[in-house]
Amino acid sequence: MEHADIRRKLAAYLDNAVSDEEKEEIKRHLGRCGGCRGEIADLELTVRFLKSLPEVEPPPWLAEKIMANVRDEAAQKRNLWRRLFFPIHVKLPIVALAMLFLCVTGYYLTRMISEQPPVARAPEVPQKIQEKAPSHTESYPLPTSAASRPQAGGAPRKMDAPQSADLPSPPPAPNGTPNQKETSPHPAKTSPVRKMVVPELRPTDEGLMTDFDKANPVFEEKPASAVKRGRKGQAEESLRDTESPEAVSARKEEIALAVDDPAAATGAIEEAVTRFGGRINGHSYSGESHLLFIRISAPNYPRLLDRLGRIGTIQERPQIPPGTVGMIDLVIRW
Amino acid sequence: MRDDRHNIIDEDAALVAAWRRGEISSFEALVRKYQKRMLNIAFRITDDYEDACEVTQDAFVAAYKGIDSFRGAARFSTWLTSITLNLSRNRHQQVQTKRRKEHSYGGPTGGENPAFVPERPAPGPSALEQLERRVVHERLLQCIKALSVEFREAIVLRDLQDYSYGEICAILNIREGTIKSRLFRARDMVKDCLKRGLGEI
Repeated sequence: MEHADIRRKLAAYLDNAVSDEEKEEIKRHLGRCGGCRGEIADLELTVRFLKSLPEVEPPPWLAEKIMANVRDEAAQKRNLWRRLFFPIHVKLPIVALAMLFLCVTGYYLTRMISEQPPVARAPEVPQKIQEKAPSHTESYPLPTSAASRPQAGGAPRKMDAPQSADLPSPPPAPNGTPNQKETSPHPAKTSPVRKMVVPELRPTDEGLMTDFDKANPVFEEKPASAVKRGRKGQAEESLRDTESPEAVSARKEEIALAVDDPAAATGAIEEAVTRFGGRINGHSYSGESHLLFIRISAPNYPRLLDRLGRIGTIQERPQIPPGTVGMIDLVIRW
Repeated sequence: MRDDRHNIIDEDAALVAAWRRGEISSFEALVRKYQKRMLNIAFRITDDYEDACEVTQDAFVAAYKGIDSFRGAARFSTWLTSITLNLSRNRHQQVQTKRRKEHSYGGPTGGENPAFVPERPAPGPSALEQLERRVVHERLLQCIKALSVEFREAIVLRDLQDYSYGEICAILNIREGTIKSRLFRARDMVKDCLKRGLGEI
């Protein structure tokens, strides 16, 4: 190496940052070059002075201020991520709960749909009531005379499940519970409605049922299919019989309505009742005769009549004295 | 002092790993460990204590925000120093630009010449030994201040902060030969600056 090259490497030589070969060469050069020896001594002293320079101390608040800034940054970053994704230890339980909720909801929905009974499937009736209800009251008496109805001639009733299941979907059945004023578009609601009829059974009705049964001996001849029907269904239907039109008409005023399509008019009539604040206490939809037991405030009665008049032709209507207040019980027949 | 860049054992690896996991206390430990070093680097580059404090804060916040870009190819201290040095350089340039504008409006104020070119020193290195330490330090600071930024960085990193050549290469992202050359010139200029002062005494 030339003298100039040696001088350029003196700084690195001081730091021991030269190769062994270069180190030996520089050493040899320093042995014979007084200028370079002076140069390296000056450099060494300069570096020593530089290294001895005192350091400044950080202010006591510096670390705190840095951490405050960093925490602000962390909070902003965390909020941003939190908006997008929860951390896994938070997200997992939330997802699990959501899945559980979906599964439970889906299960009950599926169960509700699968349990939807056929149109006229008989609901369960408490055993106590079954014992009271004689099996021969299975037939469903209608408010009109038995002769006017074809099914009164001893044929199996249409409440029979296998037959009814083949029927087209019936119009929405009203919900018989007082708290559920809206009509249900779903046939599944027919089951609770019938159950609601059961509590209306009164012991005094038993006599009526017996008389009725005696007056209709033809019903005692039941086909084998009817005999095979469950006792529960028979009992329920017998309970329904206790609300026979005769008994009801003895207690309630009746509106007779003539409609072209009784089945199709059911929904409109129930809707009319509920629209004017009426309450549906029960119903009996069978064959060509439909009964709807309602309770409505007297002031709304004319409006109900007006509405029913649009649905069909009113053939009979009870006369409610003007100025009558309070609730009145009615039976709408069509 | 030599550093093998391909075989790095980072003493801060555990703290950095904990910090990556979200333990902010680990980052705080790193702050307390390196705040003084970063402040001194910033101070020697910006030559202003207030600016140095701000630069140090900004450097740590930038490190916190940019931890994902730290792959562990260098030591954490090296990475942090490069951030600090960049911010210090930027701040220094802003100040220089501002001063130039002020000078252009108010005329030359006779301050220090940033393009410092040392004169040939007077012979006799023994005279340096006669200087009082305090006087030497004051003179030394003036000499460092007179250096351009790249030479100042070399002096600050190697002689003031004792970084290895490998670390300086990583911090400045330049080759080792360039570091040696810059360091030689920087030391030579400082030495000449000191000798010039001493020679006139």
